[in-house]
Amino acid sequence: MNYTDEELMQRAKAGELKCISTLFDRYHVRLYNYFFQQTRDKGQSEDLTQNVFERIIKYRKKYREKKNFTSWIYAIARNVHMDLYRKKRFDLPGNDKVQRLAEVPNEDETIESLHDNRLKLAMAQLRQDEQQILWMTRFEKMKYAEVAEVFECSEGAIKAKVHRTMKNLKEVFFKIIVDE
Amino acid sequence: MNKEEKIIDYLQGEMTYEERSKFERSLTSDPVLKAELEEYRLLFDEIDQMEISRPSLTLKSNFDYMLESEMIRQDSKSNVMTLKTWRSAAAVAAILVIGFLVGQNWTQKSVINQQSQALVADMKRNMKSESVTGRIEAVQVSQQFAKPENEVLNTLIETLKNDSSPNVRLAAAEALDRYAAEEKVRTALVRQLSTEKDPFVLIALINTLSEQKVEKAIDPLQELTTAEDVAKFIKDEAHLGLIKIEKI
Repeated sequence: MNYTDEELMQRAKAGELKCISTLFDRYHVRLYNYFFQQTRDKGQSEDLTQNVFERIIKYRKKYREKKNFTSWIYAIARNVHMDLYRKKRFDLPGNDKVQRLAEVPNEDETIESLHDNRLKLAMAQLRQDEQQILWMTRFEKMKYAEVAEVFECSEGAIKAKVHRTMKNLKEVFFKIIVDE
Repeated sequence: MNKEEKIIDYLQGEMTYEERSKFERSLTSDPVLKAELEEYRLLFDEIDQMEISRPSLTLKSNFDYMLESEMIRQDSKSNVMTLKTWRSAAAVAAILVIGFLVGQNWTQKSVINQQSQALVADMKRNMKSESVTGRIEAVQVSQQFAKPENEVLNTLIETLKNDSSPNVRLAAAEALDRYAAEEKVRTALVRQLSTEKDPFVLIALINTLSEQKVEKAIDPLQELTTAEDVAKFIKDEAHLGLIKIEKI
């Protein structure tokens, strides 16, 4: 049976816990990359992904019917990420990322990986919320209205943030190319 | 909306059919717009082709273990629930039979009150501990109260305001989050927002106040977004907090 995410979550809420396994298969790589893009730390990104599913299992009864599942899981992901930094008391991600990316030796760099690194370098210079919005709108192809649900703000506010994010990213990305 | 913003909405697929058609028509007569679109298209293509990393297999096996444990727990819980239900029925029957012993209830309540007072006394005594861990443990005692007790709230508020350790203040802020519907708690959290210097306590305060949509927090949050001595990530969080409260 090919259930939608929302149907699977409803079933899980009703007691069919096995359905969360299908949701894990659908989302864990995406979430892992969402975290990895912000932390550049594989182990930490896996822990954070694990924490998201731990909360889904724990709070499954709180899932509201008809709530967009992607928005719900990303809202959890944002909270998990913020909690980690509150508990561990170290700086927010991103601040040393540009340097770390630049330091990574890349012996067999292809044209594709060179482009990929330029983009990652540019993305690392965005603010945390900008990185999250970029991920949700471009990689997840979420609509502004769905992202607004994650951030609990208006669609207009997200639209303005997307505009600002893309303008910033374009400016930094082409500057890196020119500087090279 | 300026041209650049229209390009972004176009490439994001956030235009209606009519808006798309109008935008595509304007491309034929505006070479500058077209060139700008191509630059953005290049960037969007780069993003869409970005390499995706794979997590290790441990993630999957850890998840499977976690889910299986929960399934076992759920099964055993439902068994316990059946037993509990049976026990409750037996208890109700017993109460009916020995109805004349209703007065016993009063005794039980009094025992609960005594236990609660003992907990409060314990908490207040441990708050005076010189060890940070001891004081954090004292704060955590507040979790044992089902509803907010006045003395507990006062102790937590006092700790948030005056404790010298940011870790203890953070624990107090997190404990007060449970009682954030109480007006006196909200007032205390807003006041602390203006005086607190520790970034992580600040983040906890911002989260609670914005989740609760406390309008009194708007002014101090705005001050945080413009203050010179405040870290950028706190300003970002304050800004997000304002968005949540004001729904802008």
